[in-house]
Amino acid sequence: MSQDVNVNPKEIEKFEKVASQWWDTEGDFKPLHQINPLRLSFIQSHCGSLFDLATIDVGCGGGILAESMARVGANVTGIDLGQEPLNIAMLHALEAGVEVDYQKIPVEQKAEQLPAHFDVVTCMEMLEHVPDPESIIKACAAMVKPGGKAFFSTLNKTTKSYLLAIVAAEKLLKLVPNGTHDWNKFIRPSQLIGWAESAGLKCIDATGIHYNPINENHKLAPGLDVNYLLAFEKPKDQSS
Amino acid sequence: MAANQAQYDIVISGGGLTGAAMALAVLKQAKKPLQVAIVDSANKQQASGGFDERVIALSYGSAEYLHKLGVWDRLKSHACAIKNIHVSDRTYYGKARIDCQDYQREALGYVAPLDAIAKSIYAELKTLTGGNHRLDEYFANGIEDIVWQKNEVQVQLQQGQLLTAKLLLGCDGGQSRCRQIAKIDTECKDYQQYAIVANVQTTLPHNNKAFERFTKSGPLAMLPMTENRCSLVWTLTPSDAEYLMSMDDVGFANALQKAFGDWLGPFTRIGRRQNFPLQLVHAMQLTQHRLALLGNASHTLHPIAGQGFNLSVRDVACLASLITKALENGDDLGSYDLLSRYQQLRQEDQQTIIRLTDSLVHCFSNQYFPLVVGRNVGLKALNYSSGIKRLLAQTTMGYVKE
Repeated sequence: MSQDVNVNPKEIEKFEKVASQWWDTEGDFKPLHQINPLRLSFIQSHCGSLFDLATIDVGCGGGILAESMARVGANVTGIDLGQEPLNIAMLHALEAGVEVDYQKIPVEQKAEQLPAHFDVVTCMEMLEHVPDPESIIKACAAMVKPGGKAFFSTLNKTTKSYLLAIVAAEKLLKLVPNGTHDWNKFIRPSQLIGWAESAGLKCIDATGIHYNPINENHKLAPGLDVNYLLAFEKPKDQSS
Repeated sequence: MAANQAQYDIVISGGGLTGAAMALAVLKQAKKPLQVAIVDSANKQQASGGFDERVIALSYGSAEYLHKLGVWDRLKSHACAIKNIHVSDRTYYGKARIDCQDYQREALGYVAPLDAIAKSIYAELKTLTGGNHRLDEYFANGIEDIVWQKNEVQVQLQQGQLLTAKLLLGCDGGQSRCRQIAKIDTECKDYQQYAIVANVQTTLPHNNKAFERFTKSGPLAMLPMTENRCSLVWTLTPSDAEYLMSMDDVGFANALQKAFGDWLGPFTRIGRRQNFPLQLVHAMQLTQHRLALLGNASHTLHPIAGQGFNLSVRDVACLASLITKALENGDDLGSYDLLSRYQQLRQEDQQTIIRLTDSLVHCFSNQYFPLVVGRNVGLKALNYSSGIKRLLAQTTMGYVKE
């Protein structure tokens, strides 16, 4: 792999190891399965029907979000740099009879191939795992059609997020494997929005994803201090 | 357009109770001309009747809705009113009576044969044709495939016809073909309990009384039917159910007598017994692009079919009212907004049922599940224990919300 690819090999290795767990709704990725319906309905609340919309999920992993968007009729491409998660994603889509075009390709390269091509670009729970998140956001923004939407979710860099995402989720409650996240790579919403807006996107919505360990429920609500989800639009009058 | 192609506003998959009621509801309420097709892989239901005919309990709310659709007058002679409910436990202490007069109603609910309900709905549907509306029936002709387009959905039938519609409604039951083709997953909760269902006859008249007894092995319900029959629903552990199923009628009648008591005298006839696992199956989504699921296609609560149908009636009432409004406003009948509104409204109701069922199973360690009678008639309160009363009060399932 060329050296300028925006990837941390250790991160890829981390996800390769647990790839077989992607679709175990009670396994390591249980939280992702729990929040996926929330992410999907957040996307739908901004896009309406996803039917026939050109959609790309960047950092698709085992395909939890990509497949769910394909199931409601979107034409989905899923890209990732981990071969093992992609294999799992392809196998699962095949078993489920859902069509998703999975590709192992860096997002920067994809953006060069297909500028201003997608109605919907999603990049969820991925920015906190890469060396240069700004470059990812730029590439995502470039792929959005004028009038199209982009969605990013990640973890905020706050004391609370350290306590919840690292101390509670990894060490105490063991909701996700130890070492899943590195707090230093968490991103403040202001920074993310800044990067996205300088790449030509306009922020149209922001919400927090909150976890209640008592009833094991997740919900979308105000408060971006831990897990948050942002919606952007590319203005129509602007050419990419 | 080729001869084997036809265009509709709405194609309904499934000509059972839910599908037929849906067709009737939209055609009856539509103020503008509406083209509807009903598709079913089975033949049109033939009235079977007989001692073992399948019955369901209609809540007062469901009966009211059927009245609104013009079905009730045809149906009422076949329906048996539940005028009061007698609840008791095996110690004979915790007794409660609920009477329809306490609620200023002529009945708490009704028990009616499936066949009679279907026949009444189809008879009423017949009166609507010939006007502005069109209703085509494709029976013994299942769905081969479904192709979704942005602005319509194409339904390919086994006999070759191609139907296009703005909206496809999956009213095609627990094994919904629409749900399968749309690849909508289901979730199944197995309560590790069985229920034996049978029609039985007793020496003493039931006098329109329903019984719910909490026996050692599980709750036992007797719903009054016409011709002094009762519909028995007896919840049991899997092994008890298997044992009771293996008995002959005399042995079963004795065991039933022992568990139920002498409230209705000796049992004179035990009809065909059926044994079902208690399961709650529900679809993970109620809608997809230009598709909505109704009735058992979206939720099946076995074997308490009565509750299932009351839920179906609320699905029908909700969606029919949204469709009628969209038609009036000249909106797309299969729009994302309409469907997401339906999903949102119905999911709340469905979640309530699932929560209630879970609570009943978990809080009362299976002893009080499924409160067949009380739930079937959708009582606002059951004057038995404050816990149950509270749980039932939360649901108030008997009324059709629109």
